[in-house]
Amino acid sequence: MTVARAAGGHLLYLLFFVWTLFPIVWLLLTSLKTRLDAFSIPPVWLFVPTLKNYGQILWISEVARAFVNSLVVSATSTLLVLLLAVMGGYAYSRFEFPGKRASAFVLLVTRMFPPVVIVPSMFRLLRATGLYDSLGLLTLLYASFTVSFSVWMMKAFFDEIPCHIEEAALVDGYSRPGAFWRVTLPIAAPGVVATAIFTFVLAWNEFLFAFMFTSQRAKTAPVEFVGIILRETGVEWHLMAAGACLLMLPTLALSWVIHRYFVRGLGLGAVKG
Amino acid sequence: MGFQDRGVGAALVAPALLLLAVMLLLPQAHALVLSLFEEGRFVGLKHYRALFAGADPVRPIGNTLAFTAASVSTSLILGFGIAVLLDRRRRAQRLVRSLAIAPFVIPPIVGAFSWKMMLDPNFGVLNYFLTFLGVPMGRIEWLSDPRLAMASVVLTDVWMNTPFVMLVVLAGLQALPRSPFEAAAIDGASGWLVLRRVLLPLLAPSLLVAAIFRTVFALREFATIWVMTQGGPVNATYVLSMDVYRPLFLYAREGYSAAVGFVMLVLTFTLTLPLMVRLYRVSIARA
Repeated sequence: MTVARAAGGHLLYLLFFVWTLFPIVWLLLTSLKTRLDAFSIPPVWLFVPTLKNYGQILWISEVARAFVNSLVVSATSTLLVLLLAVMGGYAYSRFEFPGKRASAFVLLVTRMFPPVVIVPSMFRLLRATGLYDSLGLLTLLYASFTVSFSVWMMKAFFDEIPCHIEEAALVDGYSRPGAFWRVTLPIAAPGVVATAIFTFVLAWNEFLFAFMFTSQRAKTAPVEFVGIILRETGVEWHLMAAGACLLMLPTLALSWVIHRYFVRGLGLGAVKG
Repeated sequence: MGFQDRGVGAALVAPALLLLAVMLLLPQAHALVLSLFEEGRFVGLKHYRALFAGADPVRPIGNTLAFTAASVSTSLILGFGIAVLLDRRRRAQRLVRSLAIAPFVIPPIVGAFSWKMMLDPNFGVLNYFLTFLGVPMGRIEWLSDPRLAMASVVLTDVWMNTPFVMLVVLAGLQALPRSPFEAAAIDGASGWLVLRRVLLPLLAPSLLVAAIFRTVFALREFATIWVMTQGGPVNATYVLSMDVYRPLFLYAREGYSAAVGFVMLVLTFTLTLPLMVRLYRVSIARA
């Protein structure tokens, strides 16, 4: 009875793993196939893998430049957000100031804004000012949509560092900024890294703004990729799969680094109480 | 607790708030004004009426609500089930936390592409499996049959987001006290009774958080559906976010588009305000 139950449990979570990972494994396999193998039915499981698709996809239209754009926008917006989040998180964790509660609530509430809502208002303005299709604009947009949760996340990390550590540093003769730079920030370093990775991944994965606010110069990798998929002139799954893998691998690697912080990063303080 | 120099604290949060005000709150306020105008003329609630009661056979609100309800409820049930199954299996949990979150962290457009490929009627691996298993349904047009398209995008969305629910529930499970379960075991309560009377009530806060976050993101869904169907076939998967995009970019109907966006915002807040207040109480008021 218990044996059967344990076996049943094992089977269930094996099933869960297959369901969860199969689409990703399938994508990886397809990216290593030749065109012929990619379209064969029944599907080919054993084949000689090739990395040719990866080389080829980068030469298709503007894929390579789109990847560079993605990297630039994600990195710049992450740096910007990090600066704001360390400052803001520290302030919410340590200082009393007028409007603290109200502004914290605003910060929380803006996290729920559906990004698409600002599109109608931005559209004409951007066209008129020439900001449409620029990396700078995308950077600012990404920063503004990740800043509230990053501030929140950094606040949680600073909250975990007891105040008396800083007070001790002050007694030891550090100035206030000195105590922050030399004592508090190094202790909060893992939190800074986790926040940075979250912000970077969100920007790297972003599709909606890039799709609506770029057309040529500032196109990001996801926009270029979706463009290729939807063009549908001679479907080339093996190449598209290679492109998909190039998009997904950085995210997978980075998320793996911070998977421990996931629940906290999602802002689920309410769960842990 | 904390430092008392008021100026410093305010100065430190000011840049973040300024960015939000300029990039988010101002455009939002502007959109609200836009939604009441048409080509420079004030038209009152015309655009809202068009969205709710238009003669148009397209029903973005209905589609959005159907998509949200189906995706959220299915991912909640699945995620909860798996989390409960994994509770106390430490090794499996570690594996799940590092590997099984993959669908949730990869770019949504990548997951959507993979499913689009698998759901292809001719060369897709899903139809092949079904034939292989002897399901006598023949060639299923997952994405181009209007009756199936919504179910197919929901399936993809559930695949992407179940790991999220599972993580939240697992975190909730770990914070649970053991004593109610021990008491139930001593009283000889059946598994079903424990689930309904002990586990579910204790996990309610986690499930609520998961449900609300899932709802917020399902309501605004764009990328996944765009890659898979672009709102088709015959508008079967045309949701609110597309109704912001299409009228604006194809017909320059700013006002209508802004109205749809505003309805999305109101829907989102109606559903999440209770959580926001709770989060606020837990993390700010205590500090």
